[in-house]
Amino acid sequence: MTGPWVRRLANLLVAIGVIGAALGVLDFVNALTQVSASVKATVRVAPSGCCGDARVELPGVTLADGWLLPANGPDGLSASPSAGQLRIEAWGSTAPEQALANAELLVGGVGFLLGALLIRPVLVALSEGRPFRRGNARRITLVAVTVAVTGVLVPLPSQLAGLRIAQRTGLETELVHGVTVPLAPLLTGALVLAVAAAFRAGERLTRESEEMAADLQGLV
Amino acid sequence: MTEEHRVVCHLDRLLAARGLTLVQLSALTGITVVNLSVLKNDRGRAVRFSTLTALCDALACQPGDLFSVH
Repeated sequence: MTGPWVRRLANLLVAIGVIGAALGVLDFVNALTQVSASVKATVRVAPSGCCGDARVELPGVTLADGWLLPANGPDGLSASPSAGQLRIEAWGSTAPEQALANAELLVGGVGFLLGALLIRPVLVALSEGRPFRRGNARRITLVAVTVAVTGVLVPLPSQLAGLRIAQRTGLETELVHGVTVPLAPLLTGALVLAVAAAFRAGERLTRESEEMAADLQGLV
Repeated sequence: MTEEHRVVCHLDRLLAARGLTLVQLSALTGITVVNLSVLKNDRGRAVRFSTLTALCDALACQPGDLFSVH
């Protein structure tokens, strides 16, 4: 995995990260200017008993067929269901609701940028044929942490926003209280940690072989 | 990683005393002329025991005659 295209890939990743983070900041700032306007967020829906269908009531309107049909209520409150989730939209948003509902791109973008900046020196070292350059294992470890933390954090603000909106609009009785933490990013992070461990072993072997070569210089 | 040392090789003196050249010593010991030259010019940083034994056998001397610490 050597050659100029690896270096170009590294630069491309950083560029995508910069654009993503910038868009995230713009989106976030824009959202904060929309306080009291409409806000959208996703909430999980569960039946109030042990099993069966969940019923969600909008103020003034009961969904005709459980939560499987989209519906519009008064005062601009609407809901769109999919696979146990409701994408709700409500007017009269508060600043925390807007901030949480629009933090996804910001968290994802900043996380991607951080990961891209960390992985760039590793890719550059790869392109120069020196994958086990000192510090690469530490960078990959930080990438693993970034992947895991970002992956877990990205969906959380939207869920928290959903809970706040549901509470404010009186929908909370049929909604799951709390948030769902995705586990897949943790597995991905663990996998990257394993790669970091392999790189750490490679760094140690490279260092030892360099020391051995230095010892052999001048040996007769 | 270069470590300073004060070991001096007296191969040139021993060669002169015995009327030998590096090429002849190389033939006697099996050590390459390049390596003998490294030793003679104090550019060596380490010596194998096998090299030392061969040199001492060929020059009929002890390691202390070959090296000293200044």
